[in-house]
Amino acid sequence: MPLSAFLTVSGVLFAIGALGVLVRKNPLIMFMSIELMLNAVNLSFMAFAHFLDSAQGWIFVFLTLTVAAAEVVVGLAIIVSIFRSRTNIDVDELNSLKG
Amino acid sequence: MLAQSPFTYTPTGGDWLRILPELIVLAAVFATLLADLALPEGRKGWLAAVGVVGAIVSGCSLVYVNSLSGASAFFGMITSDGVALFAAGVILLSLGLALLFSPSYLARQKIARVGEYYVLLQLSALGMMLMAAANNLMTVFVGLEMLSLALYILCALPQTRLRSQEAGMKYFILSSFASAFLLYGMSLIYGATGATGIPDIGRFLGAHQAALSQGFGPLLFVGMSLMLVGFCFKVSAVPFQAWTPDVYTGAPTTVTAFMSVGTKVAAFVALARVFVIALQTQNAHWEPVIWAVAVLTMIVGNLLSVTQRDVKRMLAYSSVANAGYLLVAIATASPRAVASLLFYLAAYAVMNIGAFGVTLLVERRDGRGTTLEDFNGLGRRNPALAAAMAVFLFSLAGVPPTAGFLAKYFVFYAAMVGNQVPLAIIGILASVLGMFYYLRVVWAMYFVEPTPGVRPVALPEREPALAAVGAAANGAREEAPESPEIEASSLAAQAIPVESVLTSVRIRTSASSAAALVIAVALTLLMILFASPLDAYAQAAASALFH
Repeated sequence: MPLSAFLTVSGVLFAIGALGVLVRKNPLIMFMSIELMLNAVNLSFMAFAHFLDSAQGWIFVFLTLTVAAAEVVVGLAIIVSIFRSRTNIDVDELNSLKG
Repeated sequence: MLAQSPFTYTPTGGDWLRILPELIVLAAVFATLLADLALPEGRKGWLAAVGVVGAIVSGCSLVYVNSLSGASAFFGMITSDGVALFAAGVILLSLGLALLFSPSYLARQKIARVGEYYVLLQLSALGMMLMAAANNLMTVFVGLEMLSLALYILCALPQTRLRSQEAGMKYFILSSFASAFLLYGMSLIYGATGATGIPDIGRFLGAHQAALSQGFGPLLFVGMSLMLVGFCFKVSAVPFQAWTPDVYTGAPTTVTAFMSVGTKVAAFVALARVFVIALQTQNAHWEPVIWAVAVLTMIVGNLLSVTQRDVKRMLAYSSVANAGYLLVAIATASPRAVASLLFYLAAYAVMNIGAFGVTLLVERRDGRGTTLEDFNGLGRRNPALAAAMAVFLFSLAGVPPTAGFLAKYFVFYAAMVGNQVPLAIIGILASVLGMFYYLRVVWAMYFVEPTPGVRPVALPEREPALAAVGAAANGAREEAPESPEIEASSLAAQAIPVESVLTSVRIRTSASSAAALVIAVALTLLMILFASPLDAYAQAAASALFH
């Protein structure tokens, strides 16, 4: 398969993820969309690493995966913490800060 | 290529020596974790002392690392060049000041999990130092995430305060969103150049100008734009600044003070490395975009600051405006401009942490009470605190001979010399607009009567040293009588029982806040004395970057 095929899939995945963050209201779904974006990036890194025959892209993927895992931990902790005090995590109702 | 030659790299002692400052901060993190186990509840304030000692020792090690020859370490992943060391110094200074403000603030705001707070604050400083020292896109990303992850938690640390939880969530979602853009940009640039090392990308682009007009050109340009989006978000440049006021207002004020400075230092140094150095040859493509973003950021940041009634939020918008001035230096993209960027970051660190420091002392126990009305008559109620705030605000406004004036002068001078005269003129006009809202706070402090009923509470006891500096700074202001009745009446108004334990804690810890304020005031006022060696070091560091 040509490089462009991988890049197209990666670009489409990234766009779906970005759209998800922008239109969805539930932080959990927004969060999943961000993970989708990160995985789209991983796909493009893998494709480049393969076609350039260079290991740096693969190492980058490992770093991205590790960071994404750490982000899951922190993000879910914050979401749980808000849910405990509000029992509702819709972002439209998180509006005490504005101006 | 990959299959034939298995890659091995063994770090030498020299590699480890070059990350000595980072290692010392890491050691301080471990020491803090251990001390947290040993210290009983109520004495956790000493954890700040552990962190401050770590920051000071790490700061001293910068001098040693500076004397080492060569800079690149760990297969070029990290560099300990002058720019990295300068940035590390600024970050460590900010960390030290933020730590000094923390114990009394945490006690007053009744924030639990004090141990985690200090550990995370130092870890985020470690991430900032790593990002500023990064010489490879991978290290940029890891450093960025390290500082961000710690800050997400710090923002949301007061678990009973919904505003902080909201700030943490907003920061988390929007910042990871921006990280994804940054990362995609990095991926495409890697695809276009086959390299992730910042000097390697620059070398490849310098050698293959022709090839870029064919296949790989679009990849590079899309990558560049995506990275710019990510960076603009991180430095809170317009139009990606919307999160800044909310997060800065909701987060605990010590965290706001530290992150407003530290993330800017790290992100701007990384931005300078990636755009000014690695993408130097593509200058014609990114320069107009950064030019426009800088103009927008300066104008919108200053205009929105004018409309704010809350000082904490006003300072948040002012940090947007300051990002605009720093972007002027990036757009100019000369060695002199990068040096002025470093100098500005140093001056900004001192004056901004100082301004947030006074704000957090005025803040009430419920995390509110930082509106303009709460500053009314502060000059009479606590002359030392008001004088310190006046110094920081004059510096932020750019009044000579403060640090802020010198910083603005260097940035705009570099822009004038570097063929960015319109940008410099817009910047100067924007900072004149900025004077209005900074000086409005000064006006409220000295020329408005204290609003009855909403006077700020829990002002720290006046420190003789601070009063002396305040008096010196303020010239003719005379010592005002001690005002214990404010303390007593405001405590009564809040219906908080006066506990002797609490009071003694406050007296002891407010000494550290006063020390931080004295240091910040002294640096803001006296930076003019050591401006030329500082600027000379920044100039040398920046020119080394370009070779």
